[in-house]
Amino acid sequence: MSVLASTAAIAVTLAGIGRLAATDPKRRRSFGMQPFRGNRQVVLALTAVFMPGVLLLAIGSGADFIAWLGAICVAGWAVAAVSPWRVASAWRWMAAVAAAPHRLLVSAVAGVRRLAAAVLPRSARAGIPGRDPVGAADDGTVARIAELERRVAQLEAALAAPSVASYAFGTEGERRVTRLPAFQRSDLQDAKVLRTGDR
Amino acid sequence: MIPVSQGQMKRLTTVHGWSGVVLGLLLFTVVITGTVAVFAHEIARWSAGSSSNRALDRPIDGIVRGLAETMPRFYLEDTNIWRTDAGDLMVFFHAHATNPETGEPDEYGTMFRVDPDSGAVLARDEGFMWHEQQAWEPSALRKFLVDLHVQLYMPDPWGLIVTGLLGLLMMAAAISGFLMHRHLIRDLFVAERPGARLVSARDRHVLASSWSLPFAIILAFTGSFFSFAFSVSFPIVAQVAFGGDQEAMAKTLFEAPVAEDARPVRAADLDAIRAAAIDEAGGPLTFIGIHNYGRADARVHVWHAAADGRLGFTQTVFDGADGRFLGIKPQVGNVPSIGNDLNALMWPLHVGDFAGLFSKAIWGALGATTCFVILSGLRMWVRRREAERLWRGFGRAVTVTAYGLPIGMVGSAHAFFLSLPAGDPIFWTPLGFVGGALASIALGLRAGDDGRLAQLLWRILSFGFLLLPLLRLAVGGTSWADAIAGGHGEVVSIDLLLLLAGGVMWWARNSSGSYRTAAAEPAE
Repeated sequence: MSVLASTAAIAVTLAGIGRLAATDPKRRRSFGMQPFRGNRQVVLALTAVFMPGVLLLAIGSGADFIAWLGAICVAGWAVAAVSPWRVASAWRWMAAVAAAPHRLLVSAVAGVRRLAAAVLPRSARAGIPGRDPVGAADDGTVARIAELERRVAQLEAALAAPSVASYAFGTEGERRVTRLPAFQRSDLQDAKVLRTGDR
Repeated sequence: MIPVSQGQMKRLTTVHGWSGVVLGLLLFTVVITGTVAVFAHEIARWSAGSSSNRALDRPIDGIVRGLAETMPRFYLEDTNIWRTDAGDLMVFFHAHATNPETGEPDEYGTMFRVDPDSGAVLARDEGFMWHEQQAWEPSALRKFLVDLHVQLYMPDPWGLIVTGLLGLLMMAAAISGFLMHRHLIRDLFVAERPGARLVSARDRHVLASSWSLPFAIILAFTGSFFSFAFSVSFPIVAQVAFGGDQEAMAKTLFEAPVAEDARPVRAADLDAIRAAAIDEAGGPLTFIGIHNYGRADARVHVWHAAADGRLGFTQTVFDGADGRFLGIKPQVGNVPSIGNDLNALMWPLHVGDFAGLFSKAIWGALGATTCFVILSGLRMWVRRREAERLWRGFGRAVTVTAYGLPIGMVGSAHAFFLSLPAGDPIFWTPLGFVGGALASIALGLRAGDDGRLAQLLWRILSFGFLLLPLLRLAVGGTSWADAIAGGHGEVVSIDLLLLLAGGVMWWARNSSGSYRTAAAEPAE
């Protein structure tokens, strides 16, 4: 009962001390911070500071009270000695730590996939869902190549047709330019590279 | 807080500052050794290796009765029974005689060290046994650290007088600091302001001293009380009220009156008394004292550690002939009194030994806070005057003392373990301290820059911490497996704490290099 009661009392008191420290006007002014906006709730914080000691005296024992008194003298100093900048830095760190599990999960999944790609034989990799038989990365490249090949074929067909020339070069030096539908220069370059690579 | 005039403030500042400067380093010595001495029992078990925690929880009547039968009647005037930190059962049959070496009344008799499991006698010594430390002290390291705290390793009674005066000095500094600080409440949450300015040093000192003020006064008062009680108060009381007879005074103050009856009787069963004592007092047994063992007027006094929720130890008294419970005896006198209640508070308030490791950890932290207050105050004093060569030299002394004392204590622990195989740690342990302290002083004299000196001493200290557990294991100390199996958590805990402290210090070694040597600024 004693250690547990004292520990609980110390925790409540420290919460009160923390609140008073975080909203203390002189502390904030000393560190160039804006004055605390809102209700400091000083009475509530002071109650949290002193009430545990009163309760320990009333329903606990003298030993509990002395242990509480000694602990808050040390822990109160420890709380107040930490500068507001360090407190803010600690909050940021804790937020980062809280976000860490999600990042860790994402990294772990990516890591497992990279590991599988590196370790498993090519034949086994073919069985991994979403992976093409030649082992290309599953990031939409297959669909993109198919689309490019379709467009290249469309382009070749258009170039082969006689009417196309009249689009590109008009008679008697008159230049008429007409864009092929949805044609982009980069697509053409990609297609050339791919076809060169094929040969 | 309390209005003081400008002249009063000036005088208070003078008292506060100069008292700290003149005796501050000595006070730091007493406080830092006291901080370590809070864990004296744990250090003893860690260093000596504990075989059992239950020497007084097992049947002892047969052992004591058997040993008593071999003793001459003269030695049965007083019998002390306790458990050492190494787990052995100690039984000391003795009478009182004048020690020819000191000229003082002393306890002369036969001391047995007994294996509590088998009852086998491990050692038997005879003489004025309290002067033969190796017979009853399993850890020379614990003994050295406690002696250093209690009387600075100075001869009796001068050590006690000096530590008593240092306690008074600490009270004077705390009270004058309280009176000087007009904005105690308003500054209670102002952390050290950035910029390494003079005001930053002031913030550091004021914040720590404001929070630790109540316990600084309590620790100083109780420390002075113990120092002066044995060196000054008791001799004066004995002189004034008992014609100089300290033994008569001790009997009047600390023993229950009993009509003399020298008829030999069969002594009461100590095991039954042990069980009844625990029922009456609640706390575990720590010590048993028997007056006139085997006589009709025998009395058994049983001391108990603080029971759950209580602050002080308890003493139960039993009839040594028939085993009747006679009552709970006040520590001073024979009837309850305010004086006894106040006296009973002194020990737990000074050492924090009332809720196991929980309260000891708090008291250790309070001691560390007080060390911080002393050092930050001294550094602030030097910072204000570092344009002067003399005070820069004093600043160097502060740095050497701040690191040299812990290095000396770690050195004493190293010497203790290194001398264990040779069997003479009582001689070598203090020399280890002297070696560590002298090495720090030598480095302090040679170093050109305070920052570099601090870094070097910091690294030596962290290396000393890291090496201690390894050295302890290398010389045959209790292994972690044996400690865990035997329930001796302090062995593993202290090893881990040392490794952690050394590792963190080594990792953070650059932070000690931030010692500031900026030019002095006007007081703010």
